[in-house]
Amino acid sequence: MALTMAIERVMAFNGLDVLVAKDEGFFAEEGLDLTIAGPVTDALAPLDQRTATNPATTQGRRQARGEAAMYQA
Amino acid sequence: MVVCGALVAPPTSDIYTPQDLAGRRVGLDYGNGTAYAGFQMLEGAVPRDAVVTVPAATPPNERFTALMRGDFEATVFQEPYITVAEKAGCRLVSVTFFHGTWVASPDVNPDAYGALLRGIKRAVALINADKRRYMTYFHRDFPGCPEVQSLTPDDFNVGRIQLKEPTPIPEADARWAWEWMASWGLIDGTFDVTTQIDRKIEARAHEVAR
Repeated sequence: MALTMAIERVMAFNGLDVLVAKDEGFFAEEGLDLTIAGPVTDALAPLDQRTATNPATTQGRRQARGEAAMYQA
Repeated sequence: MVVCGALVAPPTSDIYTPQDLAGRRVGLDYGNGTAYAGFQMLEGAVPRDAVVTVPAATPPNERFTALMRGDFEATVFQEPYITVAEKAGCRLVSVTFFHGTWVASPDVNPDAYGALLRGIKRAVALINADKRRYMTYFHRDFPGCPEVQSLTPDDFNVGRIQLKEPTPIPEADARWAWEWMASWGLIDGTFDVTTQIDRKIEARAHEVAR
């Protein structure tokens, strides 16, 4: 039985290896049905309200909701 | 994957070194690795009390527009916007590299995690054999951005595209990162490896990935 996993969105700058592996069929060959989620579209705090200690990021949101098992930080 | 971050000043700027950024406004996308790389490049050049940052948009195309408009005097980009900025005449004043780190749910299936790592290892070998062949992947992330779509594979400095096989995070590295963030007030509490890293799951995944 194939393994399944969903991960949060990756982009080429931090996940070129993942994107190429998916396109080349490497995950399927390794028995993994991998889903790469799309971008999170939640509204973030307005730019002028963001600070270093109160940032606005979508990283980890799908994982927190149980929609993805992993994300790249 | 190893991520490259570059501190970039616009073409007409009088900033040539990171030291020149003492007391100057640097736009950072707080909460992302790019911003932390920015803090590290700045604190390596000027006293902490001379580091002045302002919030900047997370999408790099928006940050690039803001930089060129003069909203701040420098910012940090990853690829492909490092290359976009260079083509636009911007100046790189500092460049650094940092690991992307996989964060897993406590209930992640270690065998699926291991299969993910196996696939990644195969891709790392493939890409490293001919990096330029894969530069078009950067186009996919920015379909509506002509400054990216106009880049050719030859425009990229592939020395900034660094890939290595994933490995377990050394405790000393994790501890250093935590304590560095705490020193800036970006994270609370003290580092406890047992609550941050499930070595049992990690070990199983990497064993599967061998």
